[in-house]
Amino acid sequence: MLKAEALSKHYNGTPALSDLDLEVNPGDIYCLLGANGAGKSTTIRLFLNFISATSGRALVNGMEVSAEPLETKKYLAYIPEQVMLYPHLTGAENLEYFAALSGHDDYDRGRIEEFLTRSGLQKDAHHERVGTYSKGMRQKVGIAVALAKQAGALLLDEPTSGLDPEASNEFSLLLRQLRDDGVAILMATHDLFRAKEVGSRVGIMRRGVLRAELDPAELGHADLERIYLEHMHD
Amino acid sequence: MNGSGAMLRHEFRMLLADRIVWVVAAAILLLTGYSVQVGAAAADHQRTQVEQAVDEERERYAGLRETMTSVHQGEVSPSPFQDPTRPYVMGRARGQRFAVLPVNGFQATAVGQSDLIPPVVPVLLDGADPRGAREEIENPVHLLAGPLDLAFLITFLLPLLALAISFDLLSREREQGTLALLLSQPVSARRIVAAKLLVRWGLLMGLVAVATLLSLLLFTTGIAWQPFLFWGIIVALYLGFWIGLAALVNATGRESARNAVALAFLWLVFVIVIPAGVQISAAFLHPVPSRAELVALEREEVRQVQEEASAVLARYYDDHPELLPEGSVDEVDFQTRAFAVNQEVQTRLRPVRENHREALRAQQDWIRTLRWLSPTLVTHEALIELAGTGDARFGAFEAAVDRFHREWVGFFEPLIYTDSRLTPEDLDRLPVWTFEESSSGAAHAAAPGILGLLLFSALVLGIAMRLLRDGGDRRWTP
Repeated sequence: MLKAEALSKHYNGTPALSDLDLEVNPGDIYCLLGANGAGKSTTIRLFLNFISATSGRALVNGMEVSAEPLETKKYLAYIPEQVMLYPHLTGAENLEYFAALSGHDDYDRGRIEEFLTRSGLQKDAHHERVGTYSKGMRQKVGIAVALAKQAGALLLDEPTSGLDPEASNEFSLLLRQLRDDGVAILMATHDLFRAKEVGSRVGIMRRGVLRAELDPAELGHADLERIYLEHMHD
Repeated sequence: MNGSGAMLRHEFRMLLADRIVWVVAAAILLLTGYSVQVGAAAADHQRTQVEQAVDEERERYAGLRETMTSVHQGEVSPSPFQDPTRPYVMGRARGQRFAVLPVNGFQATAVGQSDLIPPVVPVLLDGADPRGAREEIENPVHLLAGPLDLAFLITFLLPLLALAISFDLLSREREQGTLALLLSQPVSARRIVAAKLLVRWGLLMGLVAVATLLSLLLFTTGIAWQPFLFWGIIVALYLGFWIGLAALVNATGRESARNAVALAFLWLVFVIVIPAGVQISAAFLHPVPSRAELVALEREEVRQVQEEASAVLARYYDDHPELLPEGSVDEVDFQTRAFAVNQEVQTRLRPVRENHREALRAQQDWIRTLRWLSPTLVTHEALIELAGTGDARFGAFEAAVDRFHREWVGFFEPLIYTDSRLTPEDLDRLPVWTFEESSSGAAHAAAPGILGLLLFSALVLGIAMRLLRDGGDRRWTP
């Protein structure tokens, strides 16, 4: 579903991402681990065509992102680290608008509320203005936007940073559900624990290079941390 | 296109949620009402001036007819300076006709040059100069410091109001963080910006059109629909230019504060600097000789010609021996002599006057050519032409006054030289002032402006859309 082929991005000659090859298939949760500046966000932004590749290709559902920028976005849902919404509108209204933009302008009120509830947003907040929301609540609307889009691939950029442990756990459950529904998920994260929990594969990045690809099922938590730190310090 | 309706609805809602929009709406409604009232008051003043002149002339002529009848019947014998049966008296102040410019139906929308050129010009043997009060073409200066009429509001203030609600149309989405979620949907930045432009343009256009219609209904006697339609097209395109400019600046991907500064600067350039520059360059490159010099020259000529009065008169009768009354040139009436002197002065001054006019015309042409540098000048020109207060209509008026004056002098000249007397019946044979409005109408007045503004708007929108195309690293992306 998501595929990077020798994907590279340079800024004025400085590599932010070098020769990345990776593939995320339906039912996969691929966790990208790495410090800030490792190239995780760059990878996600390349898939979204917010930036364009210096060389190599980013493919969504077999289509090259730079050639079909709008078509590929139909298959992509995106949850940024900070979900920012229109503060004047309620959570439900925000969701309704983004759903309409993604082509689902036929959701009725019940359906909208269903997505919000499924994302874990408490019922009495559905029709409150987003301006009054906490970060976690906005994040949940972001998840609802992704759910409502019913996209085949999900791009997550540090989605749980700033969420409390309970919300974080709910989020993991939701990711597993989506995985079981056959969504291909690419998640950039600092959170080794979460990666081990939900990931079907884990990639460790450093300075724009994918250093290792691991199967978390074969590792304990301690192993993952040890390997991660090894790659960070050599 | 998926979500187009939702996008427009959403943008409209976002716009209404912004307090600045309500301030802008209130400003448009109030200022439009006030400015149309200013224009209507100016038009009313002109209408009153014209009516008073026409009434005065009618009453004066009724009085003249009575006096002439009495003189003919020998009941009274006024002094030669008061006697209306003498053509020289009749052709001057006592019998003068007024050349009047009627108020145009759409005049309340722009004062234009109407406060610089008197709409009532007395036409008498000594002369008829509607430019009496008018030193130079004052278009751009007028634009800078003229009355707050609707044309001023549209050209000068409306851009500021439009920029106030569009300077951050894309940068705000980026700054509040919503652009990332927006652009992860299958919609292009072009479409997002286009929806924002359309909503802002529609809102402003609706406000301005409704406010103008209401004000015209309230303050004037009716609406001239054809000029109003073309007026609407001009305003729509002018607004399109400014909102397009906001899109262009936003597409460069700077933050809102910098966009605001850049747009304020561009407003200054197009609305103030270029018009002022055009005016200054016109005064510099095509200076108009001062009016004081002209007056001094006239006095000198009068003095000289008076000294040679007998020679002047003799020359005239040499050319027109059939007109010579009984007796010799030396015995000719004082009034004939005065007329001959005046005619000679006019003849000698003609090249100087012509130079003066030529300089004015050159200045005017220069300004008309350079107006293509700024959409503000193009729009102002089109709006005052539509209102009938621009150079085209006043030029026609001046030419008509000139023709009428020649006709007037031509009528009296043989009567004066033959020292004839007028009868009351002759009053009906005097030349009568008429002014034919140009038949080309509103479309003709608006066409160059529409073309120019189409170009300006297409240019800024084209550049904006090019900067907003997908692919490559764009500064405006989240």
